[in-house]
Amino acid sequence: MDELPLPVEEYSGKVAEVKIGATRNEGGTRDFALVIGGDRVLPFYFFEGSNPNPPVIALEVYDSHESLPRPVKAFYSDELVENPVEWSRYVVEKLGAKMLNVKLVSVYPETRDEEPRKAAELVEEILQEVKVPLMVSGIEELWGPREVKKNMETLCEVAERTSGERVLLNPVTLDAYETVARSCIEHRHCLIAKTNMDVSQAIKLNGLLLDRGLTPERIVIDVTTGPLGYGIEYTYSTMERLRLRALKGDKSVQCPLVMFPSESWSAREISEKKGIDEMEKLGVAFEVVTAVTGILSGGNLLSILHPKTLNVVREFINEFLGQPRISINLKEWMKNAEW
Amino acid sequence: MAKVEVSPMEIYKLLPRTNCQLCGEENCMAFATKLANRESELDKCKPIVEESKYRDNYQKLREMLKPPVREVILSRGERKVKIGGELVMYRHEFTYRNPTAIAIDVSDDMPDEVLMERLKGIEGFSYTYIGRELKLDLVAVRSVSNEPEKFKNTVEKVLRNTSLPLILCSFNPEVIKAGLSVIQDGKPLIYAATRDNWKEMADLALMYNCPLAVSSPNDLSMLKSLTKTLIEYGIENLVLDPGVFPDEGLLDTINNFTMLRKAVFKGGDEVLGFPLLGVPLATWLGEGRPVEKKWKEAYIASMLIPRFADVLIIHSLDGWVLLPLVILRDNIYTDPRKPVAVEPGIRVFGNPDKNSPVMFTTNFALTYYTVAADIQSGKIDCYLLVVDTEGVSVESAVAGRKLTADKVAEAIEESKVEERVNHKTIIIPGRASRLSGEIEEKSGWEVLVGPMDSSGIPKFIAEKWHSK
Ligand code: SF4
Repeated sequence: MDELPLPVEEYSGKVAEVKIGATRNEGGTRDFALVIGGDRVLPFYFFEGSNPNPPVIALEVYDSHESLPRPVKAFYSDELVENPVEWSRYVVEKLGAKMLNVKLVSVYPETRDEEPRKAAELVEEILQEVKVPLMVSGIEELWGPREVKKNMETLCEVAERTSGERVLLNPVTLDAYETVARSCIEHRHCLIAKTNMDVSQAIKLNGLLLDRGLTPERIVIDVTTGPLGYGIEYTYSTMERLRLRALKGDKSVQCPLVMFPSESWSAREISEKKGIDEMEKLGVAFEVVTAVTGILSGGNLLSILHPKTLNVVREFINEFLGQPRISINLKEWMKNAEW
Repeated sequence: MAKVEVSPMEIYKLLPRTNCQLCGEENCMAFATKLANRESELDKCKPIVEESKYRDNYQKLREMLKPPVREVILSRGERKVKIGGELVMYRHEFTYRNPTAIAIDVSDDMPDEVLMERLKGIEGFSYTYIGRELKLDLVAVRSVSNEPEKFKNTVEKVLRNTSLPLILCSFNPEVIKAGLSVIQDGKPLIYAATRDNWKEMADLALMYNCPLAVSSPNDLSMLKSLTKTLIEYGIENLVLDPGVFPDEGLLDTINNFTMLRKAVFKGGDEVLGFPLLGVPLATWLGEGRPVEKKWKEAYIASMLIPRFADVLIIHSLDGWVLLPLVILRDNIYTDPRKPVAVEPGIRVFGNPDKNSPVMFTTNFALTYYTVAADIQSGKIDCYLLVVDTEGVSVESAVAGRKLTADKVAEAIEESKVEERVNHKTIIIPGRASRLSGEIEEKSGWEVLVGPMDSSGIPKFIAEKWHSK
């Protein structure tokens, strides 16, 4: 029998573990905390080792539902999406979501231009109603200075009002990171450092945040998700390169990676479909494929929009939770007579 | 072992250096550069192939340029499907080469209507994505009956009804032989040699000069032994199948694929340097409703496309399963060394007149084709200026100063669009709104800020342009 030359690579670096959510013992009010990262090898390189924490999925809820894709609205019903607190409760209690991404889209200057104070109050309410860890997203599409400023104000307001809860604040960018970083430290949260599909930008922002006193245990890196068909290859390679750098010992980027499969819903291929069932199937399929690709390239946290995607991706992740199995019966697929 | 990075100089030294231009390049150095970038093939230099005095150099160059994963070709008449030929482990190290070929299965126990329906579905699947046709590549014919005659009949029907190259699937050499006997013009992939039948299968592969798949489910040592034996037996074109195990076996599945590639690229294993075959179709063996199997098949295939599969055999024919897969494959196999860009310049849509709108976008292919599709679907007559942003999207280009007011002004001027219309108003992408003041200043054109997303263009034109 021929031996395989097993090319097991020893990595000197290790990704930090970021804990999201603080329990009562830790100064918060969550029932449990979630730990992401801690990777020692590339994802699914089981012959080299295994990573301590499986990817975590955050399900998205919105404080204003105008921009929701039709199949998502239809899944939840109009009443539910109009009430973000009830909606949050539903996804935790009925769908078993372990984490929420509360998207405060109402603060966008171009649309509702809501006060940060009001948006933050909603987060407080949700924290009272559900006891899972939260990600809170301000303005993710930072077109100009107005958006940058508003995003910063919103995240700081949230940080202050949820002090001690270890919320994951999203996004912090090179345009404005100082104030949010300070507020994040002061109120014991963690944050998402977002750059634009560029390894050197990601290194730069991380470096700046570390200089400001944030530890790697408080930073999650977002290289920006180009979803399936719309730049996923850039995201894939940027994430893979960053992860390899981290494992090879570059201390400035040893943080978990977040990815946003929910972005897939903007694909034209989906909106072109006529029937809502067709839209839903294709949309979920796009989201699933984006999520799988994200996990393969090192994604530790996935933000997902459709509950059906949550189910499929959760099943996918669960397949990998055991130990490698030594013997498997060969099922002879060739003889499978089903068509 | 062959290496990825070969310098043009090293190649140049071994070329004839006569600058005869038979390869279609200006001179030998230009050809050497193309070879180093893997943009051309050595055999295009006729003199080095044909003249005996260059024989040594030819061999050296072949060795130097040989990809660690062999390129294997499946063919049918003029139609060729290349698999493998990979040069690197990670996409960012260079580029992935031959997109994962997708085969859809049919079987010899299908009633004619089902068979025809499936073949029509396979042949007809097509989606236009940023100017490219995304299609399925192969038909895998499975022998369920294990009867040579029946298999032969099915292969004949398949040949009559599609032009795609085939994979012939059976572990019975007699069955494979019957299938091969009716293929006149082409090289199907024979699936598969195993520890039990390898010799008969190898004889068939040699007799018909066809590539041969080697199957050793979840046993890589056996896979390697078999492969080595087959190489020694004289088979050059092999494809390796380590098995796909749905459910609890998924961990082993991806582990095996990854280990095989790492053995080649990082462990320098020369025996295992062949394309990898994956069979997501195996999900159909398990329990469960069809829709659950389809989901599983979709995620297993999407896991194997970035993770080293060079050919996949899939059963689902639903658009919602296949469309994301062919797009993913296209995306992952684009060359990361160059942005996907279109030619800058002016494009004319419909029949614009003097009052028609003028807009601009970037030359990032994805942006351009999306905007173009929206303009076409809205049946808008207009001029679209494609500004050179080095293949970067609007948002990134504005952030990275690759899209500036100066560039827009320049594009307007160079396009001479001024001579085609009798107004001076330009619609700019919503995502470039922060440049509007500056563009007005630099170009002397009035700016109208368009929608954030190009899907809003038809509505925007209807509401804002026609009222003007
Ligand atoms: S065909 Fe060969 S010898 Fe002639 S120019 Fe090209 S590389 Fe040089």
